[in-house]
Amino acid sequence: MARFAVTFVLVLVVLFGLELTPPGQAVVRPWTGGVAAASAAVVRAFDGSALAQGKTLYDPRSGFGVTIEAGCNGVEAMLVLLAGILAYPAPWRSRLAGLAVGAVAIQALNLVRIVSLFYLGQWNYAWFEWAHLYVWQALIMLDALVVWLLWMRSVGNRADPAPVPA
Amino acid sequence: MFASRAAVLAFLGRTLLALPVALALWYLASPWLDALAAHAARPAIAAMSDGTIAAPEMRDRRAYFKVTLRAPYAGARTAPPAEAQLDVTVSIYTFGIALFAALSAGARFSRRAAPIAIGLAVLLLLPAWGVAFDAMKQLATTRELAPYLGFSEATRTAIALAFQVGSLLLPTLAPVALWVALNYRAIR
Repeated sequence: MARFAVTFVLVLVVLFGLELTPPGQAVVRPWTGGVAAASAAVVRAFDGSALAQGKTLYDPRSGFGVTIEAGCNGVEAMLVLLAGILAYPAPWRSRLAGLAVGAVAIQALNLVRIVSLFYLGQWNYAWFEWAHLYVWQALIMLDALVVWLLWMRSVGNRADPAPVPA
Repeated sequence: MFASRAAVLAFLGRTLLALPVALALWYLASPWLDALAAHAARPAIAAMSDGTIAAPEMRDRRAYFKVTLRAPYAGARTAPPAEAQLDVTVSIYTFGIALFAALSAGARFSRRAAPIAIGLAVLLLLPAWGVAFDAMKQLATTRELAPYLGFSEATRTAIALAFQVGSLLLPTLAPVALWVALNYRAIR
């Protein structure tokens, strides 16, 4: 437990620190732009009126827009998951598989978050604030936790094979 | 460890059911939780800014801090003290307690009084980190206050990093990490 906790904190601090450096931001900024573009594509698939400009997703008809800031691009949740996977004893192949599946799960839910907030903001700002500041923050981290629990279970199953009958 | 993948998904389902209830309870309790975090942050802000801070005023889930900073001594030309009014939306730092409560309700092994009490106690005080560094970020980024604070570039960078940790990671990571740590044997 202590080894896991120390490794998790150290890895997370390093990853989070790297994210905030200029080279880290050189990766995160285009990533966030990609998230905005993907969100606009999802919205267009439903009603065809959303556009993305940089990290902003907006509706040219109503003028309403949401800007995807740090904390809303799913990067921090992916870093937490990465730290959790790296801190837990497992073969590298399992780690890479867990990270790939986890990244998809987190980013898929994050798209749902952004698109839902985009519609919610146009409907009711008070509900938008609630969902943005509290509900979705909790759900994204819960997503990372559940992916990690499922991954840890799959690793545990492989690490502890069923006993062979004598 | 969870016995099966279905057990993890059942845990997720129960947590999702508990989360709205936990958030509603947090919302009702948040005036007190926010005030506690703001009051706990006050000495930290005073120590880091080397200023005097009046008791925070709480309005609409925000804490208002009135900070008085002394100017550095410059003989007869010493400037008068500077006053700054800071406001921090405290509820964005305290809602993690609802996530912890929902997680604790989600699994039978985590419905134990002692770990829940420990987790809640930590999460009552931990938001003070976010509040303190939110206030410090406001002070450090106010150009007029730079001569009063005398922060080096490294100090300003450390404040910015601590603010990012306090606002982006701790509110949601702390409840999850606490839940894992307090139930690690059962989870593993």
